[in-house]
Amino acid sequence: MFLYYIYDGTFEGLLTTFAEALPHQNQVAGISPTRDLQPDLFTEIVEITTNQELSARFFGYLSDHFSQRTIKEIGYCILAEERGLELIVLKYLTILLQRGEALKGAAHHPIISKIRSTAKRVAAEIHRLYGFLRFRQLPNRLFYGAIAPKYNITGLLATHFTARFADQLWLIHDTKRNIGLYYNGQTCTYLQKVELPAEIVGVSLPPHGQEEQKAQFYAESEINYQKLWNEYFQKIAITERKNPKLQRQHLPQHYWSYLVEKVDSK
Amino acid sequence: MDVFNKLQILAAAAKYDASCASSGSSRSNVSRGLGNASSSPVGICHSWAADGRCISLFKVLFSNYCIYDCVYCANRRSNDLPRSTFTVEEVIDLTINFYRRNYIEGLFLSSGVLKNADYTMELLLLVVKKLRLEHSFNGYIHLKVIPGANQELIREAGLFVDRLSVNIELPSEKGLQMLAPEKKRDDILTPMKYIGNKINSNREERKLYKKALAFVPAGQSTQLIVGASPEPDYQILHLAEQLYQKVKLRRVYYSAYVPVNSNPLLPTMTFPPLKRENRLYQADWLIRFYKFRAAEIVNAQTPVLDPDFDPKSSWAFRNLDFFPVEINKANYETLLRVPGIGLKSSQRILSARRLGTLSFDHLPKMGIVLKRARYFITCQGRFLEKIDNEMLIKQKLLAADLPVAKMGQPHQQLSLFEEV
Ligand code: SF4
Repeated sequence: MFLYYIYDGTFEGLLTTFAEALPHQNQVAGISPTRDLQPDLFTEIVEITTNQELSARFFGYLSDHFSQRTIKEIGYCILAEERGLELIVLKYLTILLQRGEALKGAAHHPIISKIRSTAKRVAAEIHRLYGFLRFRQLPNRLFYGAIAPKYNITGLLATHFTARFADQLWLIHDTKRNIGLYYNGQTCTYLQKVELPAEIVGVSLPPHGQEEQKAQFYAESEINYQKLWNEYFQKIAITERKNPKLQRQHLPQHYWSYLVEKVDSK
Repeated sequence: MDVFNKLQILAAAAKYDASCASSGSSRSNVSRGLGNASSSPVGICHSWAADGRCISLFKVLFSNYCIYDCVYCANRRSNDLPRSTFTVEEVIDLTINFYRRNYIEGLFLSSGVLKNADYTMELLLLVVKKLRLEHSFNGYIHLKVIPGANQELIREAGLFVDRLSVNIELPSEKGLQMLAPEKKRDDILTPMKYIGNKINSNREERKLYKKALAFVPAGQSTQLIVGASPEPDYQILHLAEQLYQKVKLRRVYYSAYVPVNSNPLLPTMTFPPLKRENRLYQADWLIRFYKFRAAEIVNAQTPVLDPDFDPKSSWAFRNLDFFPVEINKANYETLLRVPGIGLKSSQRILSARRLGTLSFDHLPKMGIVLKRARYFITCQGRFLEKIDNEMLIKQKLLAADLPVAKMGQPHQQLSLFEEV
């Protein structure tokens, strides 16, 4: 008999699933947030109800058994939100629990290398966003940064941006998932759903689109600094070394919509 | 003149400096002010300019007026071009506002020489001090030392900035005499040695007193211009090696000469020698991370780097008797010498070997470029493809159309994402 697990797509839901599935790991045929399988004679569908307490306990169990590095890797893989990866993470947990974490040294093992490369892609996007996120100042001193990351990493940006912008108000908005981070000058809060905090009055979030049309949503000096930055961006390039291919390779088009200096180019 | 026009002039005038690094500082945001230079061990690129170079710092000149007339420099006093000078407040306002919008990691400030070296250095120091003390700015600051400036000014600057650099520009005394006759060699080397010594003694001091202020925590760097004067690669890399060993420089930058002036003393060229610059960066990486000595890469017999092959492959061709290297036995240093095997993959080989014997099938998953490595390695005593003729290997490698060896690409910060 094969088992196919359905969970609610949340981090806690997945941890609950892992806790339930681990004892039967040989029979697990799939783990998915959607019911996309036609049940057949040999597959049983198991619907998981997210259990906060169990998921916390399971996380504690993992933390006791594995190094920070491994925990981080597993977390990154889950946040990658890739179809089918849940099962690979389960297999990864199984082999590390059975054979010890030292097995990670087997860099050529298909599951280990898959986990490594996925975690690396997620880490790379986090690092990219440290650089590519742009704040635009709205009236009322709020700095607003819209992003649309490939992976669900907004929550992981909190430490970096809080340490850096400790003396300004800011809001990071993942427009793809409508989640965000808000920093009020003291603490940073994770927003399950982005709404402007009550203390920010007379402000509305700028829509997508051309920068010029958004001017009315910005603080007075905002467009001026954007112009200065754009000019700087043009002037710092050495014409004799022009290399659009290299530029595109480092600055994938996917992120252009964030960038003051690129948003209106094609 | 308004700030916009000044920025146009003074950004364009700053673009020839190759440095963009923002890594390696320990300055954190203790004051709950603005900025955190210690946030990433590898530095952060915020954008990439049309020339494919990383933009990490707001790189700008305080002024492009200059009392000197260095032949290779666009800002030399005899050039007729628009000139401008910022005010201290203007630089500060741009830096803070760019930083607040997450455009930059910090400021890289340099200048042409106004009046004299001390006068200029004092202005630069004022910008830095105000940023730190009045604006609680903890972002990264890289300051260029004006050759000839008073040591006391350099010492004070060192306590507020993350990195200092003194650009050598011309890789030999002869080049300097020819192209920058007003500059004295000692005006360059003395501050470099001074900064190097200060960094060392500060490190000792900080071991004893944790609270002692850090002096230039992200270290010292310099730049060499490639192709304006006739020094071969051999001389350039030999100098770089000495700078790393003797003055403990964190980084030497190589900057392909961009023909900005025409002068009988300068070479005539249409394009900057980018290929050569790239090969120098690769060779530099071999020296810093792969335990090569400069003389193994270029020497009196082979004074220039081969434009067709990366320096590690060139070394391998000249030392075919060093190979083949057995993947299951070789030590770390030996693995590092194999073309197609990098720092990370050498480590992966070592840890994977402890768990079992490796075969060729395993290698690509570990990041090894088999197309390059195959002529130089064996697994369990067997070759994947055995050729021991230099010419044939070269032909095959050229025909394989390999991607550029990643190692040492000039405008890449040190290997990213190592945290995972
Ligand atoms: S001193 Fe510096 S800015 Fe002045 S001409 Fe020489 S290289 Fe150019």
